Amino acid sequence: MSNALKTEVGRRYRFSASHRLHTSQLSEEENCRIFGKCNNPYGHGHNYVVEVSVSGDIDPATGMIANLADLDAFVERQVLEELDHKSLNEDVPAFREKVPTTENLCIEIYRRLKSFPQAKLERIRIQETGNNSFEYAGDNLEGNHQ
Amino acid sequence: MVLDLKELKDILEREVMQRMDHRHLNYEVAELAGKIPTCENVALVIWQLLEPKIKQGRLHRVRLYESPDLFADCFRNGASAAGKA
Repeated sequence: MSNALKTEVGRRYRFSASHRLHTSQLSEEENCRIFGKCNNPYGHGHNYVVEVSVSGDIDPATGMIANLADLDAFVERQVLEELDHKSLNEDVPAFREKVPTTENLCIEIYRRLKSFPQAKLERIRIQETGNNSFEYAGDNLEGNHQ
Repeated sequence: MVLDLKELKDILEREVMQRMDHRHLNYEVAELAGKIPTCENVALVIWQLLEPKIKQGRLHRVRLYESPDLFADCFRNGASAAGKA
């Protein structure tokens, strides 16, 4: 079966949020040196593009891996409603302790979506700007939940 | 080169464009008969059309965009849909 054909569906979502890259584990000077402009006390914003990839068998009756309306509703509820137009540092519990880098944001969004019931979550890719993007595909435990 | 891009372009033109471009996917594409032309199914049909025609190198992945925000990937298990922009 290792040579079997596999199909994935990818869907893009957008949200806007602010963040400040800062950690209490470092001094003010070190924060400033490491994070540069991203350490500005009042934070700054991004228009994030989140790419969600899921895999599974194509249902012969519907032709779909997963009903996109259900995926959209799940992402809306689990991610967009909670992150859009928010301060990641202040409004999202996961980032009270962790620095809201886009690496960590990939992991947080993966964590929020991995229980999608209709298909297997393969990976989260986030474009923070046109020039950088980040991916998280879970570890083995997370990836093999089904 | 892994495969002459001109040849790949010719294969795509022959196998995909001539069959599907400006066609009604439900009624005019034999390979989709009886199937709902979702992005997943069309990507899979494109894979099945292309794979046997690519003799030099090996078909690694087909990505079909239905819109900038929706796409389907088809590949053989062991390859990956990851790592592309």
